[in-house]
Amino acid sequence: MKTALDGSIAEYAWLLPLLPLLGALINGFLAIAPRLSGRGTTGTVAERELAAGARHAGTNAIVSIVAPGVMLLAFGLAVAIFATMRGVALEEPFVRVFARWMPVGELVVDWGLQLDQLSILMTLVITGVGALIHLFSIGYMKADPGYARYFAYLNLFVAFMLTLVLGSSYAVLFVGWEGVGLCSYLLIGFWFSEKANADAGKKAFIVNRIGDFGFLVAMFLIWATVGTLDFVGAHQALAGLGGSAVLLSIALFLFLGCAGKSAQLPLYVWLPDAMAGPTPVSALIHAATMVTAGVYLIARASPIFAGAPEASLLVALVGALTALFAATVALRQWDIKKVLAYSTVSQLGYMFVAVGTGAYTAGVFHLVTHAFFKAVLFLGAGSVIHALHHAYHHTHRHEDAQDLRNMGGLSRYMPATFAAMTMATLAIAGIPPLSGFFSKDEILSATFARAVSSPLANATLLGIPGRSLLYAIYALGIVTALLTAIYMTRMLLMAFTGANRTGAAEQEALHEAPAIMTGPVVILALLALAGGWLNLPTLIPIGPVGALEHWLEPVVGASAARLSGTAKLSHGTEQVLVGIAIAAAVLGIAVAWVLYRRPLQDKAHSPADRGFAGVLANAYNVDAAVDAAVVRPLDGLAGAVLTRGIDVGVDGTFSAGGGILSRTASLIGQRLQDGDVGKYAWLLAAGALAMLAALTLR
Amino acid sequence: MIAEALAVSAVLFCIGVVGVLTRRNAIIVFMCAELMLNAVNLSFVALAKMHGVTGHVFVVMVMTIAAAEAAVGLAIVISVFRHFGSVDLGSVRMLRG
Amino acid sequence: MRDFLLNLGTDRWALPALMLWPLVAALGVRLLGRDAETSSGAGIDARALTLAALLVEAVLGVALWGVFDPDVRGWQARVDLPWLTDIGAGFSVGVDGLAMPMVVLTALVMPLSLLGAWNNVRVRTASFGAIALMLVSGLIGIFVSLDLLLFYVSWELMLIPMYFLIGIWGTGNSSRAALRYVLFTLVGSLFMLVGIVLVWNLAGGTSFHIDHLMTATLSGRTQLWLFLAFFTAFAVKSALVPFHTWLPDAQSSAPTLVAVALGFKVGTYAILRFAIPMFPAAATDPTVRGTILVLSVIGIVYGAMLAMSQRDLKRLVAYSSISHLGFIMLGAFALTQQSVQGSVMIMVNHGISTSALFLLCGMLQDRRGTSDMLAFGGLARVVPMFSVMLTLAMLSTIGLPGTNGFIGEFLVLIGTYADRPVLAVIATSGVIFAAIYGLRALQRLLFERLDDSENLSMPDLSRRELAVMSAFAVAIIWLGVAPQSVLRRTERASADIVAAARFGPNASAVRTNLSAAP
Repeated sequence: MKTALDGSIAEYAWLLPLLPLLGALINGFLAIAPRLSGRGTTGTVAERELAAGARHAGTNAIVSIVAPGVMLLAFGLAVAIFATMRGVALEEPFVRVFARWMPVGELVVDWGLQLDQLSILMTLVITGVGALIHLFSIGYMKADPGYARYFAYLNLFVAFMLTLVLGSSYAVLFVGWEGVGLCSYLLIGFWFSEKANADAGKKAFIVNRIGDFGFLVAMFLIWATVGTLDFVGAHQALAGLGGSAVLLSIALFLFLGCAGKSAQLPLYVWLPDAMAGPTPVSALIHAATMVTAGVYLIARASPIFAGAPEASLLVALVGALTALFAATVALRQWDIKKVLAYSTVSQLGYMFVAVGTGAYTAGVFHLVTHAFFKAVLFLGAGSVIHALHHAYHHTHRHEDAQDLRNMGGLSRYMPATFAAMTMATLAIAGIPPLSGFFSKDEILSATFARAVSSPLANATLLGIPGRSLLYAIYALGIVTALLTAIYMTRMLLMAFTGANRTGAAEQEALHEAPAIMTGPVVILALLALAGGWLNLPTLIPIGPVGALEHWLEPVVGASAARLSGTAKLSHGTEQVLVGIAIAAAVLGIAVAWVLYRRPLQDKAHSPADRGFAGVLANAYNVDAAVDAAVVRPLDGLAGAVLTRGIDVGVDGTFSAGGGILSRTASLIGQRLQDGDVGKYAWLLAAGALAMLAALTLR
Repeated sequence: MIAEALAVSAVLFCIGVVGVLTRRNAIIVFMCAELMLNAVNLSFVALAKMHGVTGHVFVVMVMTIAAAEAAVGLAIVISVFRHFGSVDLGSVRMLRG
Repeated sequence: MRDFLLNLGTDRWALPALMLWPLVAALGVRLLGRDAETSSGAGIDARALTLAALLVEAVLGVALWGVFDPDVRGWQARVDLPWLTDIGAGFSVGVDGLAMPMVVLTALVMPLSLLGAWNNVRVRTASFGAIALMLVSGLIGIFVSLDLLLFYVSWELMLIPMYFLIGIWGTGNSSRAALRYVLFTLVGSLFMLVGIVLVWNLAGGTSFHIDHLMTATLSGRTQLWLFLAFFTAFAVKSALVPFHTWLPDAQSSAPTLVAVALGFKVGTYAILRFAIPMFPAAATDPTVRGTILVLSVIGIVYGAMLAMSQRDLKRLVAYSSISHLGFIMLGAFALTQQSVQGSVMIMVNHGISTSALFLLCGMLQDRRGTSDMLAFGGLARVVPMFSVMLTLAMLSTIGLPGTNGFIGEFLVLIGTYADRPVLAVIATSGVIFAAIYGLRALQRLLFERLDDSENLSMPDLSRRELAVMSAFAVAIIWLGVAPQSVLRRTERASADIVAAARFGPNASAVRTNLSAAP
């Protein structure tokens, strides 16, 4: 298929995933090289680490250049390709196949790359935000002995993530899909000496695998139905199957995969635990990129979801419920990273509401703005935690550096971080003219518009009319927006305002993060401020209107139209909706201002949470419930029932059976051959009679 | 006439078989074996009336072989008695496998 | 390259050499070899001799690979020599796309494993090497025999040496494990012997060659009984649930090289080679096929769940082996092009990744004398190279895309889905359990607290071990990214098997519910 991009710089798009992979290999080698030479393989572990540590300074310097270097190169290439694409009207996706992967009979799966408006946008976000986070990590992880290993994993993650968004078929996407799961496992459990960290990594991988099971089944369904796994071919063939049970099944199984990867109910349980990893990891993987893979998948598979309105309604409903659920839990979290984790789950819910209602552009828009402001929040939290660690190290105390109760008044010590985080908080709360307002408002307005009139509203999910569901989702969205504003402001206030609770001695050591950490945070904050310009609504034409909408039109436009029809709200209604959204945000900030300005005790002296507050703090005790209902019975089944029960039984049957057989045979033998001649004579007589009878009684 | 003779022969044969199988004294077993042989002789003689002199020839052969067999067999019994001290067949289990 | 090899006449002597050279070398090793324990004394180190012999095998295997033409139908490198002409048994050997990867796998993995497990067996190494070479001869014989009697001889030639190897040089309760192995598999093979003789008789009693036997017209009932006879032997040998209970004991108490050899799936190979093509009506019979498919899926989930609760690493790997076998059997009996090729792929990949895992277990056991996972912890700090290799091998076992393990599983599942969707979905859930047992093992061994004093000074991989494991690592990634090299060569043979099952001379006249696309 000839496209306008043939022969342009887009031909080098294969470098995009390969550059970070190369970085990963180099960094990985550098991580292991000090231990490779013979000196490293004997002696105690302490001796070995000492011997290796001497070489660390050199290798760390190389890693500090290679890791962000490949990211910046990839970003540069992505920008160049983007610029080329902007100059060209690309109607068909640019697909390049590099090699056969699994050609088996009629199944043909290739290593292919697909460049279109959606994938280049994701690539820009991944490489851009990723590069900034790499720079931040140079400062954050400076003193860590696993420096090179960290960057190897981080580069590898980006390589897999780019494979995910640039793949030309569901199979190649799946390679990236599981690959990022692997890197997530490695990075969450980065400080693996603590069992809790290793457990968190393991939990993430396993819960993701449950989603992967859904993805695999969806792939089988797709192939069984249309005979190809390529996006272009499959979507064309599936277009005619709108409304069928097959399409619905495919969509539902794909959504199971998304629920696992993007932490939606009920597979979100790994995300809060994932905060055990280094904070930049949380920023990159669990805020900006990996968890958004599910949203990307639905946008990519939009023809499928557009043809299965029930599935789309389910997606939106689950998204809305997840958003509300997570927001309630975030209200009562004391660990700053946990607040942000649940906030991420909640915002992901918004994105799923968007793609579920067919507003794919809105979902991607929120994905991008969320990447900006959530990265700021996580990196800022990272700066704060870094500062508190440093302070406690200074006084040799071992308090929790992540607990909000141990913070307070940090605006005095970390003004730049404070400014950035304030901007990000306002963005996530949805205050205009920050980016979060535009993206969140677009989602809510789109939902409302579709609730008023659209093919989606006319569909039903389990008997409930789509219209009612969409209105309910809108309401949930508004309530969640209110709660979002409350808990985010609470976090900001507790950390940065009021009296400092870290301790008098520690305050001497509290200071702003180094430039290499603050720089990326500020850049991202500016992006969070200005990101709204990507897709201004017609209501507020302060710049180019609907830029993102136009950009993504060739990819998702048709599917969006199938679900939304000609849904268009009147200007009056739109203004009211915008007003409600802004009101919810402002009200939330005000409520938080009132509730949380009172002074707190630091963590050591704080009372334990009681009652409903305690339930929220424990996230509705879901983890304990899952442990009791799923994990323990499964282990019990595997251990007591199967291993010690059934397997022993099966083995015993065969072994005992063999024993009984041979013992019976020997018993018969013993009885027959006991030397009693009389018995022999009997047998002789009996045998002779039998023979006579056989011969005569024919 | 022949039928009655054959019937007597069959009865004698069965008595002989039962005796061989159930009696424990070796001498008695031999006597029963002789009884079996004589029963067969009787049926040969009876059938010779129908089929000619071949039956009588067989009777003479059987008698001769019975005599030889009795001689050898009784010699074995005497040998067994010398070794085991009794002729009770239940206590001779040298053929035990 | 191919022409050069053909000029040498490789296709005429490669297979007999592959089969018979180990027997000759065994004699040499036993006579000339010196045990590792005795430092002085005459003779060359027996391990080195064995390695040399196995390297010759490896070269022959590569030569065979080079001479194999993927586009030719039927047997290649075929050699027919007279043997027992009275009854029609001949020394007939040949390979096609199904056998060739297995032969090359065996030829390459065995020397690597011996090199990797160099310090595993130190007593009476001369005898060990000799018997191990006999085992290799049996293995190769199984894969290349076209004559059923020769096949049976090779089958038993694998069994007897295995008994001695496990019983004498094994650890733990090895004599019991060896005895159970022999009893289980021998009983199975006896059924097969009866079947072989029966089918020979029905085919006219003139030849044991598989091509001749396939021309015999067999009624449906006869096929059923014959199929069951053969299948029993193969099912027990390949540890299909519920005949699997001998495998964990045998594999965990065997020395490393032998555990690796137990991982070569001769049973499933034989099913694809003999049981299905010769008795297609029975293989496609809905009841029989359905039962086997269900047993396979049970095996997948059951094996994975049992692996989850194991404390001993070697037993865990053995149970994962049983789980993989479920996939192989599922693919074999789903009888679509994709599932059968996936089945073959798993056989090859399993030989690689499970061997790698057993080598690593062996390295751990040689250092600390145990493979109980609770004795370890936090090893990633002490032995990072080992940890990298173990992680890679374990990820391959649980089927991470990008590793070779994913290819086979994916093909089997997608191929099965076209035929039996529900079973395929249940089987797919196996990936979740695989992640659980795999990651739990990694965590218990490598992560968490490093507090055992003996572990603190555990030496990392030596140069020799690193070289061997790197070879496995390269294979794992290469076959995961470019499995073409194997897929292309197995394509024709797999298609032939599927065709023979559906349309072969003895196939069922009634269309069973196989999917329409061949």
